[in-house]
Amino acid sequence: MVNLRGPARFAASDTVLICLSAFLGTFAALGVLGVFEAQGSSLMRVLHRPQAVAAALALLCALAARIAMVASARSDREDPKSRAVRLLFLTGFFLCTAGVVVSSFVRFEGGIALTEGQRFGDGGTAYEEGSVSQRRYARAPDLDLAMLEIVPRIRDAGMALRGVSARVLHIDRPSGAQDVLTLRSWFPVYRYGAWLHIKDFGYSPFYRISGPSGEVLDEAFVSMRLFPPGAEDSFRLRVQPETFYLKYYPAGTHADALSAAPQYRLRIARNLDLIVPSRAVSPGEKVGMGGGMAVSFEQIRHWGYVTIVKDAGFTFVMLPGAVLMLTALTLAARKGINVLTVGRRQEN
Amino acid sequence: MNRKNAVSLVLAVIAAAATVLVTTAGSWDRLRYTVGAFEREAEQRNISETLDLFGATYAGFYVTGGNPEGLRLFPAEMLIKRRIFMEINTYREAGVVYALDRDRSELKDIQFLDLAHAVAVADESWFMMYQDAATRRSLSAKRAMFTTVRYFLKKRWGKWNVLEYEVYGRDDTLPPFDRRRVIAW
Repeated sequence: MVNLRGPARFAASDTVLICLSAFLGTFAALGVLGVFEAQGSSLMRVLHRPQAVAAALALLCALAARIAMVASARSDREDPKSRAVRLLFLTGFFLCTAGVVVSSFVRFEGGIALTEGQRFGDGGTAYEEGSVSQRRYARAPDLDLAMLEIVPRIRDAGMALRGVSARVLHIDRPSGAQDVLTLRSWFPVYRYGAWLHIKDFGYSPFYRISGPSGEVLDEAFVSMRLFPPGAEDSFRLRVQPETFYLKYYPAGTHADALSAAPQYRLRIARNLDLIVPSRAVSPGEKVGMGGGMAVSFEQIRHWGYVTIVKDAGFTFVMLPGAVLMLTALTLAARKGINVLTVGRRQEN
Repeated sequence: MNRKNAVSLVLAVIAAAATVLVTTAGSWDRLRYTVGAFEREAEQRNISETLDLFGATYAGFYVTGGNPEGLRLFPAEMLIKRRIFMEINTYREAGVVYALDRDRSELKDIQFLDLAHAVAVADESWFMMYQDAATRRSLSAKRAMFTTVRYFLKKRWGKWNVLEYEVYGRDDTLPPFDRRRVIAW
């Protein structure tokens, strides 16, 4: 048996492991829940904070000492199978913790709301402002994607979202080869060196601003949070003081809708002036804004929020570690082994 | 788990909470907000005064045809100021003044999201008419407008500022707002 001396023996003790694990777990929970902050953050962003990384490094040292102690325990003091399960658990725990540290240096994360027909990468749309988190040695994945189709799975008579799936075209720039990828909201997909996940769904109406002579002044799809029916969102144009408030009712889905056909509900304000009070608008119908200008909403498409994560620490260290831990816990449960506590007998 | 480990666990949890409190920006303010340790009535009065100043200065910009004198004291974000002057410039180019006068503003509700963010809802009554910029002759009949405005405010350097607003008709139902989006502004 390895005779751990002084500090190493202390580091391998239950007390230190419990302290460091509890500290890291509590710190993560408080950060995710946003208990002392304006709002919570994602788990990985909380674990990347310097305090969490420092605790993780200390925990790594303690786990290494513990693994050394357990690995060299004499067989007549402990059942070999129990020792193997504990080692499996400790190794998995070590890898998970090491993955947190590695991830804090190499993780890239970004998100974008992609409308059907919209392209991302290669000069197309960029990541959404504020969604990118790039650690010191991280590199953004080189992806060229085009959103083909988004299919929401809706329940409660069209009022709630059960899930979303999307078909995305990936273009490999060097060769020009194309392949179609299916994203689902219930689990991310690992392709092209990154995790891709579709998380949210909404509608992108196509607006058209026309001038006094009917000439088109501006037109585009605009991603808006218009689901479920009755939800309101607004948009502005960069060079205009008007705000367009919009609701969308697909095919008579809300009591407010005046007909069974798809309808919008529109309101327009110019600064504090309500220039167009709330009114029902059919697709293609022009609504005057004053000064000879008019707005219409011609067609509507779906948008989905796609997150892209490239993280070698998570993919190649944390995930295998989690698998090892789960395997150990399953075996421990079957054989009645307690992996969470190690008696003092092993420390002699 | 023995007593020693149980005590260690509790101490570790306390240490983690203390670390978050000490090292996270704004954590003490968040704690004060959560336990209600702030002068709510005084802040409500401050917000009410801010919105009075906002409305009066807003009308002043239009009535003067875009005199920027009140800009420094106008409690609003830069984008709001820019949109106002975009509109005024359009009128100026047409030789018109859009004379605005706020008749009444009744504050219906003030909700604090934290010590630095608040949402206020007010019923407002405005009168407006178009005037010739040179002669101030009326070019249109006086028109009344009755709206409900939801203001999103942020406190910076001890003063409340209007970050954004939403305009509704009096009969419109105000939809819920995204709290996270407001706090992130």
